[in-house]
Amino acid sequence: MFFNTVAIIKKFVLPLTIFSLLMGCEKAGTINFEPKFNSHPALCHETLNKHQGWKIDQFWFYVSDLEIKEQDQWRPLAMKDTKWQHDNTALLGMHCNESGDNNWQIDLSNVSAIDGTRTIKFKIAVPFDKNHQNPLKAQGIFDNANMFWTWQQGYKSLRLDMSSNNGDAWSFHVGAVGCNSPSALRAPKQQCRQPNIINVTLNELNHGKPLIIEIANLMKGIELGHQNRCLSMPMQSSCQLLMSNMNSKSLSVIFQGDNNE
Amino acid sequence: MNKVGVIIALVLVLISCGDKEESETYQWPLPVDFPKPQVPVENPMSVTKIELGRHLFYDKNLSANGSQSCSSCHVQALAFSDARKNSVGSTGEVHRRNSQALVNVAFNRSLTWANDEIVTLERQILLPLFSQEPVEMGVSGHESDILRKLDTVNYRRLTKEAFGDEVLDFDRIVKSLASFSRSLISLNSPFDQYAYKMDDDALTPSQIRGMNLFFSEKLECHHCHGGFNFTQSTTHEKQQLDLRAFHNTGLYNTAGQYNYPEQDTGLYEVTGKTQDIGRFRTPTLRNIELTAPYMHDGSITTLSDVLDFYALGGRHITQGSFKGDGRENINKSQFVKGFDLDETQKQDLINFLKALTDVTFITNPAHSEPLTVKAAKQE
Repeated sequence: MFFNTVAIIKKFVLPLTIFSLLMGCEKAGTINFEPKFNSHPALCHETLNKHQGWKIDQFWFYVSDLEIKEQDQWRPLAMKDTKWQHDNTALLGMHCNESGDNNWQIDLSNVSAIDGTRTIKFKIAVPFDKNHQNPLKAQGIFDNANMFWTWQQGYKSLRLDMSSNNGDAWSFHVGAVGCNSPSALRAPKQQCRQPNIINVTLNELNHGKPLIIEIANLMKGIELGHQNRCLSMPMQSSCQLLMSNMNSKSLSVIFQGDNNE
Repeated sequence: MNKVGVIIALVLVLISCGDKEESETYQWPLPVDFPKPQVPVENPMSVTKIELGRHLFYDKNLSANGSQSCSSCHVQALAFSDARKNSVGSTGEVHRRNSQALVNVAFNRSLTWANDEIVTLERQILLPLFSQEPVEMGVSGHESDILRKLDTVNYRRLTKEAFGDEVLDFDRIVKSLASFSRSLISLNSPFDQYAYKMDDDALTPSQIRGMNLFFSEKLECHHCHGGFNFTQSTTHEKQQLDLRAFHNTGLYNTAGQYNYPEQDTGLYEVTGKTQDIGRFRTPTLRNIELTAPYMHDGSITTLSDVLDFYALGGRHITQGSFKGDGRENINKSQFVKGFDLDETQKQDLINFLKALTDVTFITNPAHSEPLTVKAAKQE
């Protein structure tokens, strides 16, 4: 009797299980990002190309409102809930400390919608209903003091920190400003005056190719140094330039790479 | 039968994959929504172990010469710190560092001032007990004498309740002290009433102004003192990122090989990386009003002086052996860049820091000296 059971498992159950697992993997689907600096991979602990002595300390950003265009209509693309994704928002990036935490991939719930060549768009932002929540109740990628400012201001939707080997440092932290609430520890009831949402649209995306995030283009025109950092102060000229770079149509910060890259 | 064995094994594997470990029964004294600290599996929390740890914590018999207990340098009224610039061990040796407060240490990502490898209290506690340079409790070489002194009716009872039999050894002593230290939770300050219990009247207008300054990009305090425990060196059951929060705050910039006082170069001593010179773990600011003097070496006396130090973006020492401009230290954190505060703003900020004082914590009888230990001292 046991022999028969084993035979059944061998013949039918195991192959079926393996097949369904494989199918599951195919369905998972991903959008991959590659951080680059002047076309070279932007790696931890390596001096940045053309910026002698500077290296990345950490680089993180939230991606939300991911949508795909179908027959001239935008349709949401759902994300799986994973260590790096929660409620259809993903945290991408890397920390160059000993922990080596990093994630450069969005896991989609269903890949069949993004096969072939499609147009997609997303926001580098934390959705308003998540942005000003009680940090103690925050789950997963939102339970992150590194990215959280205060209830009033919400999260840093993007943070890039660099340092040089001569002791200088530079930071670019993007987040909402002009948020109206009784104190730093109270959430605003309405969207902030300047939410600083970065909109990204990628036409004719081939889902097999990675998305390049070109950090050199992001900081084009900025001389690295603490005097030119930007912590989302709207009046700072460095902030104005950096946000302009991020939203520029002509200067590609995020674009589709080649398979060969 | 082999096939039967394989099937049974497979079933067992599947069952074990599906089950989670039995959750611990200890009820953490945490407000709603706070994450639980992470506890080593080999030393789960229990009320009886905490109680044994509390007795040991206050017992001078735990030091070789009977002159000191843990509480000699970790005084409850001072949020389990002491008021000295540098701690003094049981034999009178002066420690190079300031005694750290034991406030929410269960949430610490790492322990001591500057060691990213000491991540459990069980390992940390070995230092004050056994270290010989400097001698603190002076246990090394005196283990049997100490265990003999602790072989009392009371300890036999407490040990049996905590561990199931009456045998007290240093493994159990360390585990109990670690459990007691983990139980020292302080999350009931006026700030907590305001922030997490939504009591708008818990803070004064001055404290709210100070809080807004604290969380502003102008001052940038929260970059290092962020999160519910006011330090990025925090870990808990939901923590995702390991931030390894050690910073050089521009306290020194001396002449010499390290640009830092050679008796204590901070994290560099552990990692050997030059960028770690002068980097120390960010301490919590909870109960900071009570834990003066400040910094790893106790070299800043008051909260007012600490704010002046950060406003200047570091410390410029103009004479003596530590002469040098800390503001220019090559390893200084970019978030210590200085700021302008007028006197009212400064007072607001100090008032806010005082709103982090948890009176229930420093008067909680569950953390206090047990009557039996107190009585034994008086005999």
